Amino acid sequence: MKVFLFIALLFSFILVSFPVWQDLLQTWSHSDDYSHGFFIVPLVIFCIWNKREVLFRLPVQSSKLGLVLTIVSLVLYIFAFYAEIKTVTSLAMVFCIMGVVLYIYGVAIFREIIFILLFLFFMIPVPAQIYSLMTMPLQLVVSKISVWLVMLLGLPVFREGNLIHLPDRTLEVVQACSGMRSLMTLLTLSMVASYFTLRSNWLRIFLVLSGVPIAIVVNILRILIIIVFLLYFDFDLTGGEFHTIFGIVVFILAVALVFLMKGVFSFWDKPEIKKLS
Amino acid sequence: MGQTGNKKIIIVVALFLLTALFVYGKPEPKRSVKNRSLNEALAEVDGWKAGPTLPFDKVVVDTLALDDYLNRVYTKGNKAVSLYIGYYLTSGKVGASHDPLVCFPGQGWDVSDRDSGRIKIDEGAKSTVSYSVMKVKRGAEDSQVILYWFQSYQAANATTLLQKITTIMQKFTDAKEDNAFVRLSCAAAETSESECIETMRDFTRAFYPVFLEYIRE
Repeated sequence: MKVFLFIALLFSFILVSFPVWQDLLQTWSHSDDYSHGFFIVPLVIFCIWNKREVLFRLPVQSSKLGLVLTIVSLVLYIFAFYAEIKTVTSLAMVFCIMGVVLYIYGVAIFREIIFILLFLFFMIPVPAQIYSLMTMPLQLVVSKISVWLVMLLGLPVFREGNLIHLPDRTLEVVQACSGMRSLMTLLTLSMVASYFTLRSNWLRIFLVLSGVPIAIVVNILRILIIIVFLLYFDFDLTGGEFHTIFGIVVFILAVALVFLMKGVFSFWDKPEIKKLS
Repeated sequence: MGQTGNKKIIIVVALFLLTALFVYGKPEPKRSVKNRSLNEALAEVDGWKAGPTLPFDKVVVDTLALDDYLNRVYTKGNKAVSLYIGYYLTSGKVGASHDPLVCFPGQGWDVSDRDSGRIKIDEGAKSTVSYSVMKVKRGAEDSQVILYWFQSYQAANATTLLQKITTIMQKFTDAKEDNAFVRLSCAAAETSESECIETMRDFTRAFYPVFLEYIRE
């Protein structure tokens, strides 16, 4: 009976959320910024499966708050679906999942897997307007600081917004170079890394947030190196294979910095609870 | 988990199925079908002479996901207003245009003197245009005043947030899904800012009733 009910639960959830999954899959397939979305659900399932022994030992105490959250999420989902606000429908679906877990399994189990469920938010694309609002200032910050550093080196450069004027050419710090593309993937990686390497939820959050300044710093470094290579070696890193390879190297540096931060946070982490044999 | 747990699963399944009824029972949205282009509709604006259309590259049209657009200069005596309208036929594209405040600084413009206002339109069906305005400057000589708003069917909104709210509210009425970004600009190098704004307000009073008529088609 229970197996049948869980199958019914799964199918009814897929039925009601099918339009959301359709949109998400389309976005993940066509966007360089959200191609990591494909890995999120398998990752969540894997992490929860990994915790099954701990979860089986916890008491199941249903919470009415979970029912309230489920109902509110579904109402929000209907509203956003009719208003065609895709981001809100996706968010409502994630909140609904949280509500169902809380309602059926209770607070203890919900608290144990809340951080894993937060991964689900990383599969939802940031709305285009908010994306632009976040990207443009980031582009400007990267441009300003890069140019300031170049001027400190005594090199001739002039900046107008995101346009960097060199003696014989002009560079534009476009959206792809602003760090936003790497930021979303970096934040997701930080989230996963923090889950597997830190025990305190607060430290995990700090590690995720540290992805923001790290992404800015490595992209400033990238712009700086591009300008230096152009001016000193007349070597163009702005296009073609070298630009791609260089971008990958810079991203690996960002990941390394995330793990460095994790090492620092480890000093304040909760001690590991060893199983008694 | 027991029978209590089974009951909860049944409740959740019932909630999902009820929600699915709403989701799959959603009526088809009302989409406009236009018999003429924006350029044709605004080829004549009372008292103003329309200049030639200034076409965009395909890359720009695709990036902005435009269903139609207008990019022209209108003149009246020694006054000139540049008009850009990015037009969308579906509400799903309401996020395709963004506030100029987001992109102007990145293109090297210094933004100042931001304000907002309203223009009462007395011609035709009476309406009000709520707009945002700002002064932008790049270098020593390039200075413009930009007046813009976000159209949501028959409502002209000063901000994108208001446009979204209006769009949502209109979903529950008989309104169609047409929406647009409207931007007027006036060179402020040899004219005062207030004169520029008045020129654009004057132009809006003339062109908006024609624009509204096109939206309602």
